[in-house]
Amino acid sequence: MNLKTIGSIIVGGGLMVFMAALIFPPAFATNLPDLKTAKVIEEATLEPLAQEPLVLESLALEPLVCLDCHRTPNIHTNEGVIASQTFCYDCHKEADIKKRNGSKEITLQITPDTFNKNQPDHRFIACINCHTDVARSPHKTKTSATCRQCHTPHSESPANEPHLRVSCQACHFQSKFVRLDPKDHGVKLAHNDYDGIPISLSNHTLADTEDEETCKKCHFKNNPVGAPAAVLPSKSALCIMCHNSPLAMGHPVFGLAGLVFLAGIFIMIAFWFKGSVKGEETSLHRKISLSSESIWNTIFSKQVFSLIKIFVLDILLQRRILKESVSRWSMHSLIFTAILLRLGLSLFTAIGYYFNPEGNLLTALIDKNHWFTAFSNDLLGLFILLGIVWAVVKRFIVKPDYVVSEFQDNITLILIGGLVLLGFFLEGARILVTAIPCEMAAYSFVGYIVSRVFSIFPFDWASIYPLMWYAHGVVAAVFIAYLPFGKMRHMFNTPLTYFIEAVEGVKNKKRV
Amino acid sequence: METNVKPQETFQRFHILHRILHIVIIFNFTFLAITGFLLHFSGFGLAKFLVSLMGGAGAAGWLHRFCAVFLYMGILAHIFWLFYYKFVLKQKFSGPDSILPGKKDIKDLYQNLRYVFNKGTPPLFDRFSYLQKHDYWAEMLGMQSMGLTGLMMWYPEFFAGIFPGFFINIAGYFHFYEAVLAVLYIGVVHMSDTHLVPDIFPMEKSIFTGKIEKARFMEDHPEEWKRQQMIKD
Amino acid sequence: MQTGTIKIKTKLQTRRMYPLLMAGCVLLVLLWFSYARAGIDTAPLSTWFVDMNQYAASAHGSLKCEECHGLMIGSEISNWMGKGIDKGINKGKSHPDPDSADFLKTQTKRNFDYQACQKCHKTAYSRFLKGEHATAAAKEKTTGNPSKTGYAPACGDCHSAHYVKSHLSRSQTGRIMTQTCGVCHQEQKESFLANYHGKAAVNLGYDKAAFCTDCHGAHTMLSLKDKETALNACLRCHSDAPLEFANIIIHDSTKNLDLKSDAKKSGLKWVHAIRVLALILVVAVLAFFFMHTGLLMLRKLHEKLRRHK
Repeated sequence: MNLKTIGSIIVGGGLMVFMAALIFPPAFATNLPDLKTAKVIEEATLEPLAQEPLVLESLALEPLVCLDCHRTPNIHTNEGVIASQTFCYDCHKEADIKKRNGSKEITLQITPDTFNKNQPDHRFIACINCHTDVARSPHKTKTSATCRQCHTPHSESPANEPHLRVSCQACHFQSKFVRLDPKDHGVKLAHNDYDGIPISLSNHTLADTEDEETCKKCHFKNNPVGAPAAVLPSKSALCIMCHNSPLAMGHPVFGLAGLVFLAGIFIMIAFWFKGSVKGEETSLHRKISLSSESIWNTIFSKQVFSLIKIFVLDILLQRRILKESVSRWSMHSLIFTAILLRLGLSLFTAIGYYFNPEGNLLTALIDKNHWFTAFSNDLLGLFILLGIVWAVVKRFIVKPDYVVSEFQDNITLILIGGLVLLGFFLEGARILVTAIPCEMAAYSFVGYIVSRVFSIFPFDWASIYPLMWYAHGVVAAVFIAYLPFGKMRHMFNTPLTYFIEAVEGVKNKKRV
Repeated sequence: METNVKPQETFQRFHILHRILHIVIIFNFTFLAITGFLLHFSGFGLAKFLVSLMGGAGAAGWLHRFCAVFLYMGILAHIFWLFYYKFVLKQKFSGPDSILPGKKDIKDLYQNLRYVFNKGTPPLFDRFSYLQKHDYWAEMLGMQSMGLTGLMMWYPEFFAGIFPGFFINIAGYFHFYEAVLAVLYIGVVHMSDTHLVPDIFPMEKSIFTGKIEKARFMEDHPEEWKRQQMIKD
Repeated sequence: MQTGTIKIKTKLQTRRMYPLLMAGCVLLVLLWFSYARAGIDTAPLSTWFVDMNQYAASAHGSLKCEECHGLMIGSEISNWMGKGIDKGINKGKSHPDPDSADFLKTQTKRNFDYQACQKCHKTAYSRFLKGEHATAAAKEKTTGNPSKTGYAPACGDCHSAHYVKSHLSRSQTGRIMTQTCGVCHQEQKESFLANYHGKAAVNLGYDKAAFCTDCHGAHTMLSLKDKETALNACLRCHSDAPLEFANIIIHDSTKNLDLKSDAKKSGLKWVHAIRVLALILVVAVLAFFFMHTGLLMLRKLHEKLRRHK
């Protein structure tokens, strides 16, 4: 009976996943031409590019009909690309094509040679493919060049969520000047330098984004776009407990913490195997094979259902703590459930981001300023903090007899409390530094209050922000490294004990 | 499997009329809530889809009005019964069995709050606990105002002649906010207070069968139980 | 015995139901997405380039360029770069000179002579001339400044001349119309979509509900600030409405309150004050009862766990 049910669930689930994949096409299924095709196009179009038909000149002596010029070129074909480029270059290749901006004249000249040299990857892309709304009168663009119809936004690790409000060109275009657009609070390429003098961007040179100098065009002291004064490393996979994070190690500090964490886990498991397994006392090899045998036997038996039940009731819903006391359950759940929910959200985001990085849902989940993300982060953070404060009050102020406060507990409390507090400080500083407008920032209700409090102090918060970031990162690293050694070891121990207890009735698996 | 457990002694708790009315309310309330929220949240794809399944906005609107009338007829039936109860059966509305709120309810609420914070024992309820009374009155009074605001939007031509124009706008907002309140109250508070109580879980059946088991009677309505025993003696 | 076999049978049936249920779920999800993703396809931006695929499929697909744009008499490069010849509608004019200083700054829609539309769309054009948009245009001409909502629109601002579609259904037209009017009248669009009319008409595709032009008139564009005029619009559907019926506020947003009439202003203030009050009340009541139930549940669960093990 179970086999059939499981089979139908697997088949149905597979179908669902397949359908989901159809509905949310993965990132690679976009219309970026692969390298091979690009090469073929390149070879095929080398000839015409070398000064072939300029429509106007070749037809100069024949009467023109409207559609000779006014037909939309099919920019998905080579012919159309050339036709469209020719149309634009017809004016823009001239040396005297200039725009008067105030007192200064800026050149708008762009020749095929400069463009092909500066943007070799875009040689066979029509101008109007990116400058979608410029081919009209009045001859100006409202959307600037669009990159996103071909390029999916890249993964978080080089440019994490704060850069959601940064336009592609602000980083990838070679220009020293950026500006803050007050309308959508976005960081964009500036058309003036910082003295207000117009600059020309017509040569289309791309910046080397591998070079940290490129980042420093925003990340310097007193920058106009509200960026922190230093270039900060990206978050680490270790941060996934509380943050959406890339699945990479990030800064070496996190790598170190991860190593210590793994070592701790290893020591813990080694300690478990010090006992006897099913009567086997000496051979570690036999102990491992015996215990893995019984683990697999349990997983592929009916017992797995009682284990699932224990997982839901005792681990997720903390039944045994509720049995002890309501207040203890409330306190523990405030911390535990909040972290669990946040972890679930981060995992969902990490997996979803792989499938559909451009979806509205994923963009909202990554965007710290989106009302849902801002509100849920603050609410869950506040829950953790409340739980910690409750625990501190119980241990150090009320001090009932049954509460025994150990040294390890205190360290854990300090670490978690410090992490959350620093997190809220960071958020406040971020809101203050990036000057997010009130109606947007108010959803992160704690962070916004903190930012208002910070704004009273006349410090250079853009410079303090990186310091606080490192402090938060280091505390987080210490917390992760400390996990398998201190009190937080119960995260691994307790569930295991519950599971073994449940199986115990049938056979003795391990001794912990 | 054979059952050796003797069926427990049961007592009549709800009159057949009330049981039927409760089912009428469940049915109509559900459909009213669904169709109403489908219109309010019609911007979502799911709402468009469900409305199209119902046969379009016109049909959904018709269903909403039909259920409203049906539900209100149930309430009218109950009101008629109340008259019958008072004038034909010559029964009293007051007394410990009453659904009218009284001083004891405030005391019970206070005691229950103390109990929640582990500072005392749970209160001993009579025939209706204060939450049950609240459920009843929320429904009775809520349906009157939902009915009035609904009518105002159903016949705006008539009501615009009586009230200032913006009253119709206010009626719209009231109708929506009260619907949210009712759905969240019934869906969360009423449901968990009746069905999710650990001793009763998974389901409280007395409103459908009309009968209450002896053990539950003694546990949930101890005052009434005591009184009935005294009458018997 | 008897009951036993029946039980087994029902069990078997439920097992057979699983794949069906799965398939049903998948179908539902797909259907939902098909609905959720069905957006409004508005006409593409009008540029120097005409998309011939869409033009040919449009209502104007059979027209030649010259029928609206006139014959570009100087159709050789040397000529259209040069001086215009014989100006006048459709008789022949010269192509604008791309090298002239003003050409790239010209607003095409302000510049095009929409009298060309009159040739075929006589009634619509005459209605337009009587309406608010034309009045605004005349005002704009005398003062030289656009109004708060922007330039007074001519034909081309609402209708895409090259890509206008023919034979659209009522609700398709209505949806596109809501977007089009909303470009300038953003706040009216939002309040319309928050109103029953907009929700039923635009969101649910209910043909009997009113779209913008059903009340404000197509091409006439009445402002409906006047009570009698407004009532006339209402009477089209609400046939027995009294004069007071026009007091009901359809566009009930509080943005730009000063533009509204005094009666509406005070009415809206009441509406929103009471709305905020109702919201606070709802939140307070729910918060109290949720806390009450949650805490009671926890306590009772705790006691039950205590009793059992």
